Amino acid sequence: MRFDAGAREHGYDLSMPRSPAITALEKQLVSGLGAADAVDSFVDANEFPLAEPPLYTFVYRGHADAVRLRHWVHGLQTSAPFRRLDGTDLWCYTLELPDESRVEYKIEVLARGRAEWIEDPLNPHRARDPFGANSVVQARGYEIPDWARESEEVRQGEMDELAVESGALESARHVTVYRPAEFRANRRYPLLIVHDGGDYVEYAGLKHVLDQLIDRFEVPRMIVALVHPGDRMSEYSADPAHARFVAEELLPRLERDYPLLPDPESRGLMGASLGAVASFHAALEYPGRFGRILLQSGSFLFTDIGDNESGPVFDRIVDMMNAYRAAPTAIAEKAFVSVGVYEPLVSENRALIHALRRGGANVRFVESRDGHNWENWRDRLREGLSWLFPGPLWMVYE
Amino acid sequence: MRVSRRRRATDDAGSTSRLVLLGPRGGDLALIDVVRELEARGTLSPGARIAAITAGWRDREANEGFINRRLADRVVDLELYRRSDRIAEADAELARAHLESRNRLRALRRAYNLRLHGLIDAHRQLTGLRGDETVLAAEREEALEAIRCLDARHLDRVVEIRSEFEGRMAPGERDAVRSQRREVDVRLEGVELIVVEGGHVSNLLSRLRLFGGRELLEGRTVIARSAGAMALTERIVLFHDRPPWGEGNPEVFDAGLGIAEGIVALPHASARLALDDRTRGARLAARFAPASCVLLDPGRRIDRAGDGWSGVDGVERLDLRGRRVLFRQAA
Repeated sequence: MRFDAGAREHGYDLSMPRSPAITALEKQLVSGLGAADAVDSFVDANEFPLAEPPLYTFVYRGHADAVRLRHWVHGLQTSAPFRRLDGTDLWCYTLELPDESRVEYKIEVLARGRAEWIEDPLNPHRARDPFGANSVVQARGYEIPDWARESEEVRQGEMDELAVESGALESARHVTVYRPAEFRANRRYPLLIVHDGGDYVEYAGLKHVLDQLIDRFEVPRMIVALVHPGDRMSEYSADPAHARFVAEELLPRLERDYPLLPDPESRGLMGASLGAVASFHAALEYPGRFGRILLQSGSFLFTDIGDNESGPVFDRIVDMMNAYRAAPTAIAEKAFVSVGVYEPLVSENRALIHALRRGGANVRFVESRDGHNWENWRDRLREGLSWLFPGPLWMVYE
Repeated sequence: MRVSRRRRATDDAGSTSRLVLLGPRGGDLALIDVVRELEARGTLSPGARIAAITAGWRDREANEGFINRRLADRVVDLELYRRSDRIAEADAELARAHLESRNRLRALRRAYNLRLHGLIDAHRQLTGLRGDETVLAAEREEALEAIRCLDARHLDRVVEIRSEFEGRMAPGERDAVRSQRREVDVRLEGVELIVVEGGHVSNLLSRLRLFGGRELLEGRTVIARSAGAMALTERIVLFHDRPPWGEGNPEVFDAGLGIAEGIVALPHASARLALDDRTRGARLAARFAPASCVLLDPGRRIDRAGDGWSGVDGVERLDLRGRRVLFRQAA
């Protein structure tokens, strides 16, 4: 009761779920046992975030004026205050998460008038991205896929580095090309062009994923062109120059340098976020050129009425999507679309599915309990790639 | 050499040679155990020479690490995959015709699968439908018969397209093929046992055909594993109920060499089939009856000696109600 009164003063939401383990600890504290010893024992005996499915309790230990959970789960308050257990330096916040959820977060510590966002010192799970790293809570049922891990037991593909001159973009673009293990020049391979290719490799383990899925016969041996953007915000936001680069400069160069299958069903585009927009836009501008498209958490903004209010960088995208929604066309024969239900773009991606189907594409749409992040995109790659480019698994019985 | 091979096959025509079908590697059963048992029974001479066909491994063909090391000095790999590459390099006309034929088969397969999925979906829905059984039972039977008709028709069309290619190009009469076949014949001299390993069943089957098909194997004891076993049956069925891209329906791929009669070989059955789904199992068994759908899991084995099959160590098949039952013997 002492706590509840204090908690209300600090604006904590007392309707939030209560962790049984935290409740038990509080009882221990009330009974007068040494607070520091009790907290030490509690921290030593548990892993954090403390999992009591469906409840997950985030814990911070230290002196602070306030502590908050910072996350990017659309639909929840992005800044959730921890409460301090009376007489201790232990702060906690309990969140209810559906099974198979995966949430990236940081802890914000406010002390001496300063606020600092830190990775959770009590949680070893991290996810890296171009901005650094986040801590990760994995709810019951979520597992890092074994096919996404690096393995020395699988045959390794190799990488070539290319500089591709572009008249459209008025400068060269750096492209890394993945060649599968046992590549042979007298064979013919499907091609996948990946936007933000470097980030896919760095943060979504794309090379390991390709090595594993190819080794398991789930996708065919394929050539994967990993495009590194220049001015990403401009090039990837429905820029006609970028689409021209992909279709009229990069593709012919790859066809010249690598033994590629010639048909559209053996050519794909892939990207996440703005990279998905760039993929969509290139396929839209060059119908029939790319028969496969993999779009992850695309920023497919549109307006049903009124003007775009998301900022000028999205103006071209909104115009493109509004036009496409009004008169959808077949941008690719097969389209795989994924989005996390915890990200704000879920509605836009759901809306896209209807338009793609009206345009005549065979669409597979997957929602996951995750956010707008690279590991979410990694975790969907097996289903997406093997559906768009089914490997010889069907034929292989070793 | 071609003459001597034909003569040997003719000599043996009166008796059916010994055939062993194995599940995938793994389990308790190693190739060397089977070889030793055949030696102990007198089917093979002690230390008999062995030829391996590992074309299903494609670019990893002849990888000795995959053959039991204790057998390595007795085994010669026929290298059918590499030889077929050499044939393609030497005979562009044949390679081009083969590619065209393959593209036609691919288009046919795509159309077959579109139709098949529709028919299976209809059968699945009818199976779940509750109502007047005096009406529904006949409807279900007709839906199943439609699938069987499609399977049969597809197989006929595949054989037709392939026969057209073989009739037009006569691969066995072309110099590049004859030259490679002669080298294979040399390697087969003194060989008593041919081991056909698994892998990519389509690649394996096409190489077996290119090098004579049944004639390549006849007159010798044969152990065929996994895709190798599939390639020797009368009808090759591709299957994976739960591939990573969703759900799959078993499909008729092609006629095999027809040496293993009355069998539909299903390697990795426990991993690839939803065996707890009786409806699926019953449909699979009924599509190919009276052939037996044999669950060739790792370590499993069936033998044919004379005219009959026998299952070893609890190997199972699917019955018409979709249940796993002991294989024992197929007529």
